[in-house]
Amino acid sequence: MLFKSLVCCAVLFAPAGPLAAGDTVAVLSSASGVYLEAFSKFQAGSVDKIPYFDISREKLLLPPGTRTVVAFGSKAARQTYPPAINLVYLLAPGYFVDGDKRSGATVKVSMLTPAERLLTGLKELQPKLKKLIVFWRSSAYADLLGDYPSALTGVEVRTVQVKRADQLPGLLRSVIGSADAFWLPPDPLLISQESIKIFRDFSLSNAIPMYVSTKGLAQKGACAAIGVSFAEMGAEASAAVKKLSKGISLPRVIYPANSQLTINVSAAKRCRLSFSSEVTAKAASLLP
Amino acid sequence: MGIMKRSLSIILLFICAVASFAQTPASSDEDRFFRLERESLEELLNIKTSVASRIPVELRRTPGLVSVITQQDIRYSGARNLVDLLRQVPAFEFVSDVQGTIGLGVRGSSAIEGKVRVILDGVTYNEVMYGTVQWDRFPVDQIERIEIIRGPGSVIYCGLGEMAIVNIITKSPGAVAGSRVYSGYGQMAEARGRVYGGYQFGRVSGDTSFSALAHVSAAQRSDRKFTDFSGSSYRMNGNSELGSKNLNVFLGYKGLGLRFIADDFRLSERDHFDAVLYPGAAKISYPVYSFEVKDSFRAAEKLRLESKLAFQYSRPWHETDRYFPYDKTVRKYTGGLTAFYEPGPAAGLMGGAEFVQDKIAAPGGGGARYDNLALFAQASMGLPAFTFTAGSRLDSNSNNGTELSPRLALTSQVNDFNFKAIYSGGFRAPTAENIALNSKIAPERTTAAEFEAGYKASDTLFFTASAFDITIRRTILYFYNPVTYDETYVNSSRTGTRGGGLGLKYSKGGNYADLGYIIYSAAKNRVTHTQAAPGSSAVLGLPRHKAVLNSRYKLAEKITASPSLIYLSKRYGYSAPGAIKAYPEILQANFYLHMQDCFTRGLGLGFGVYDIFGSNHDFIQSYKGGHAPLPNASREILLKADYAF
Repeated sequence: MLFKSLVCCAVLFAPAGPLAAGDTVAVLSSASGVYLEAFSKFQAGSVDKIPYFDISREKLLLPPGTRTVVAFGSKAARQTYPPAINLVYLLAPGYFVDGDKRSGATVKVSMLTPAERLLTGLKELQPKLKKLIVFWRSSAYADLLGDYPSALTGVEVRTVQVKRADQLPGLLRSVIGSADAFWLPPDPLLISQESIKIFRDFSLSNAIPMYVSTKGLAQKGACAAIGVSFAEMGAEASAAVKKLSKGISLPRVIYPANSQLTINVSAAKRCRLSFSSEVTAKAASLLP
Repeated sequence: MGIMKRSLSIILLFICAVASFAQTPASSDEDRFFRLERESLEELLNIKTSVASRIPVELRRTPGLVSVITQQDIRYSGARNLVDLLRQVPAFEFVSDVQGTIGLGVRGSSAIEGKVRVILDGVTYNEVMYGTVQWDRFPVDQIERIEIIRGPGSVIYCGLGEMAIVNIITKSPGAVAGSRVYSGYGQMAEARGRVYGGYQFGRVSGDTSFSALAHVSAAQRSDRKFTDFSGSSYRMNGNSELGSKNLNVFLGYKGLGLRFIADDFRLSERDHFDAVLYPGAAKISYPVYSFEVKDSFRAAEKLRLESKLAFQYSRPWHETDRYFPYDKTVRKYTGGLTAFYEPGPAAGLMGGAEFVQDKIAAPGGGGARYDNLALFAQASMGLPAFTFTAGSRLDSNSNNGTELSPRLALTSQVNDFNFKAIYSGGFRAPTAENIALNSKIAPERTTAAEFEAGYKASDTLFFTASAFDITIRRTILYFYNPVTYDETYVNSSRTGTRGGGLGLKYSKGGNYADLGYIIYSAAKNRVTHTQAAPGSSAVLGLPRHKAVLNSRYKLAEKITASPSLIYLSKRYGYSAPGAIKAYPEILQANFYLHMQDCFTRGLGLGFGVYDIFGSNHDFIQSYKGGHAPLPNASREILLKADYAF
């Protein structure tokens, strides 16, 4: 971690490279936490030093000649950018920039693991998984989760919208007997300090596995997480910028190719899950 | 007109502010979401504790000045024993007592006998004869967390909780979830410091849970030289053993819990009074066997009842050799019922009754029996600006009569600022040997006023400042006559301390630092046997200034380094009968490196160096008791391994 911090500091404090025509600018919602982690990987994938703005501390003034902006976080993505500039944005779960109003390319690096990949991973963790409930709250997920129910034969997926936080206990009670597990997408409106405790307590006390999409949430008591790491998203953004600079057109949403598996051993044991050595060998992190 | 314009401007500004806030809810939700990805300071501050109220309340809102040492703190600190852990609390410092034992000082007041209640899984560990605690007996590898009230625990604990409460909670079946073995070896400068090992098993299956925690250790207090008041000395290697065998078994079904603890702690020492050293090492043991049944059930939607029945057999200070034979057995019976009524999220009521009977038996007769019935209640009510808590406890004792312990607390948390103001009263009940040596001895009484303010300056920084004023009346004091060897306990004059503390916590991305400082003045102390000098602001054995730094740095994903520092200002203590001297200030530095899952999953490895700069810390007696300073361990290197499977 210290090494990572040193790298991040070196990245931030090193003098920014001269801004040539066609250069890229990074805009960070905040130069800290996961934004910084993704940015440092993004920077590592670029030959030139990428100038950045921390909009939690300073006003955004794009230098003349900027052709591509990479926005880390939805606050950064929401800034007003000239329509002709390419915009690559990441770490903005549940938020979409309207690409139709822009003439430059608009590309989102998604935090979501594609449906088939996710369900195949969950099936490996829990071979008897037949019924999965997916909770969501942000309206964007109504469309985003559209292809999950039919993504994998043999796993029946039901998506359930949580309209208000106080609905959670009732909705969770309906899981008992109707699902073998539940999964939480990276939905900031759904997941909070309080709600994750409710999900966790329900999961552990009823031995119904909870799956999530980030390592941090697995540490909070989910059985496992299948998701894209923040560093991987930074690397994917870097690759996208390179492609755009070469004139290659990209889809509005791109999904990083690699997902990482985190297993929370104690939570899994309490949910009576046992994993084969092949499965645990695939885990990037095994939390005790 | 002017007023109207200004009012309109304010309303417009307010509307703009609200509107701009409303445009960015996704960003703030997103910030909170991503903060969950990292260990946050908020999480540390929101740790819930029930030590001060029996109802789980967040640290900043709980009606007491509470510190919590988590399992993570214990694991990464590399603490060798409970003494290491509690020395990280600025308000606490250890002093020497008698026969090679140590006791606790709290905020500048000696608290060695019956003034700090220590509870492990609901079992009180203060022995009944003198009220002391054998601090070296607790295996830290079994501990899930430690909750500390730095002040009287009047309503809930009382009797022995006059100055502080240390509530130790061992690992639950769910926390172990499988098996874990661990072992450690410590090497001091000249001799083995410790060797220990243990096994833990835990399983939760539906409503049933089971755990078994076993621990064996053989340690030494020190390998340094002990010198008594006349200049006689001996090497402590082989003469200061600290041995512990511990088994803690728990079986739970829904709200019902059964727990059995067998705990056999032994020590050896050669320190008699004044200039007299034992020719050989005396061996003292403190076996404790406890059995407890606890049930918690919901009698109505908002009413929960908790009942408890416990039996404890102990043989404190048990010594059969020729040096200081002592053989008394104690049977303690405890029964209690507590009701918790929570009519709403902002209000809570807790009340109940507890009966304790201590039956003491001595080989040649001369046993005793003491009964104590306590009635207690505490209510809290959340008002818009603050939460008000009021409670009281009435103890009726077959020997000491009736004592009332009140408690009033105001706690407030507004955004990032929190504040506590607490007034409490408590008492220290005379223990069996106090009464045996002086049948007229009365309980000593304590009143304490405490204040704490905290401010979360950012997502990573939290500051606290606290102040306290403690007055103890009818102080129970030990007197010893070195000529006649007579000893007794008397009610002495008023004592107490005033002071304050500062704290800073930093937490970011797995890195953590906790800096604490405390200062006290004992100007109100009128007990000459504990004064550093007549009218002095210092008491014997305890530094007027103490600063502690605990930190943790993630060097890599699986490697954590934990440096820590303890600073003690000048201390005063007896260097010869009737002669007090100043012992120089000390800076003790420790370092612990922990590696998790480095070679195989489930394996944890640790390497620690304690007292890196060789400060050679001594425990100094906090009263005129006839004992020279007791050397603590020299520089020690510790290797540790644990494996969870």
